[in-house]
Formats: sequence, C-alpha cells, structure tokens
Amino acid sequence: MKEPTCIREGEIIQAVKTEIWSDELRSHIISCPFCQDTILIARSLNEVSDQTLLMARPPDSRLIWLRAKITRKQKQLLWFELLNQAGFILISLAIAICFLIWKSPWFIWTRIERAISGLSQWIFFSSSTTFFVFIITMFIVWLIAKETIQANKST
Amino acid sequence: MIDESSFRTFYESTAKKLWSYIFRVVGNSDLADDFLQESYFRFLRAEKEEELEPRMKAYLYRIATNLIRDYWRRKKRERSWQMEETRLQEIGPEDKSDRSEIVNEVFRKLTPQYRSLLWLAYVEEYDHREIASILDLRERSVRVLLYRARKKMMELIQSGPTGARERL
Repeated sequence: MKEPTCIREGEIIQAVKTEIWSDELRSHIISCPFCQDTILIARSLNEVSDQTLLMARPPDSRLIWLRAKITRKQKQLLWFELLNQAGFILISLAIAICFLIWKSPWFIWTRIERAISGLSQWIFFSSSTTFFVFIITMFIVWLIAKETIQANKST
Repeated sequence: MIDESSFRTFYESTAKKLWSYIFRVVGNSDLADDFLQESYFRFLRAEKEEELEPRMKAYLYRIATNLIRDYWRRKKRERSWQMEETRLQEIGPEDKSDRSEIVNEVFRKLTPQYRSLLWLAYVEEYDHREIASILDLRERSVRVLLYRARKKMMELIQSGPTGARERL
C-alpha cells in the first residue's frame, strides 16, 4: 500500500514552528488535504510541547556528570584490582610450582617420565615428604584464591 | 570524549526537550525524571567522541527510547508499546487550555509507539531516516507507522468532542 504523503511536509512543519508562511505555501495548503492535517497535528503537538517544557525540571547537569565520573573511576579501579589479583594468583602459583620442583625434583621428573612413556598406573606420592609439600602448596593456593574471590565480591 | 563544559551546554539545550518527549511517551513525571537522568548517564558512560549536537541529540533520544521500551518489556507489557492504550498522568495547571486538553485526551488514547513517532516527527522535526535510527526501525516501517499514527490521531480528533477539529 502506498501511503499518501507530501514532499512539502517538512516545509509545513517548519512554517508551523516559525509562523512564517509564504504565499506559495498558503496556496499549496488549500489544495493539499495531507498538509492541512499536518498543520493541525504539528500545531497542536507543538502547543502541548510548549506547555510540557514549562513543567520540565531537569536536575543540575553536575549531578549527572559526577555520577558518571564516579562510575568511571570505580570501573577503572575494579579493573586495576582484578589485574592486580590475577597477577598475584599467577605469581603465587608459579612460586608454588617452583617450590614443589625444588623440594621434590625427582617426583616431578618421575611423573613426566612416566607420562611420556605412557604408563597407565602412576605411583603418586612415593614418600610422605612429597605428600606433605603437595598438601601445603595446595592449601596456600586455595587460601589465596579464596581471599581473592572474597575481595572481588566485596568490591 | 565530551568534557564537562561541553556536556553542560549540551545538557542545557536538550534536557527540557528530552524530558517532554519522555513524559509524553510514558505519561508519568517521576518516570520521566528517572529516564532523563539515566539517559544522560548512559550517554556519558558510552564515552563517545564529541560530535555535532544534532547527532549527539539523536543518540540521546535513542538511549531514552530504549529505556522506555525496556521499561515496558520489564513490565511484561511489550504489547503495550505497540498495541494497547495507556493512561497518561494528569498534568499540571499549566496544561489546562482548551486546545491542549483535547490534544492530551487524543494523545493518551494513542499507543506509546505512535506517541513517540508523532513527537519525533512533528515536535523534534526528525526525518524518517533519523526516526528509524532512534526507534530502531526500518525507514519504510517508519513511513507506514507514522502514516497510521497520523490517521489514528485524526480519527480520534474527528470522533472527539463536537467541534474538536475546529477548536484545534
């Protein structure tokens, strides 16, 4: 369906706002029912708009600016904090792994060797010292991860 | 990004008009206050490069329209945005002229989507392409919907109180 329209609609809306009507536009209106309706609608809506503008009491722009500024700062801080914590976890893990290798190098190498040779039955903790070191390391990692998650939640 | 003084200038030239648009579409001054603040806040949060005012204004109207649409969606009344009539809040003593009473009555019988279309086209003077971008519609759809909105408004004026058309 082709909706009736008029190429002079824009000019009419402008004229309604400015109240400047050329003779040519006036004579066009007489022969164009679409523009007659446009005038009616535009005029009445603009009148309502003028009245609504009087009712508008927008807040001070500084309030919105400050709110946005605070949110932006919080976002930056949160990212910084997250990066900090991620770095801390990675460093802690690296230290833990280094500690494990340092304390029981044979344990790691044996496992790597066995994994490579494809042995299905691995012997896990062949000595109590290795087991103890492993448990301590896991406990430290768990403690750090827990603290980090809690810190994130509170942020 | 826009600096504080540019924002203030932009805000002062657009805030009242945006409030009027929101108020006329949602029909509630408290909601209009909230949506106004939220629109500017999101506008600033988007951290867009400073552009010419008309483009920034169109972007702002788009944010506001999305907020209004989300509001209807949240209320599980998405159909209301397109189909149903909603009551506009009673408005202040400034708005009691004979002519505006008729227009208010007619306007409150339109769907929010029609109100939005008519306001953007005849008050804010946006063309079809700009309205399409603000309302997230196709240009062709805007033409059709705007025509229907006009038709509906004219029908309501014709069927309104005797002589409503003449009084307008």
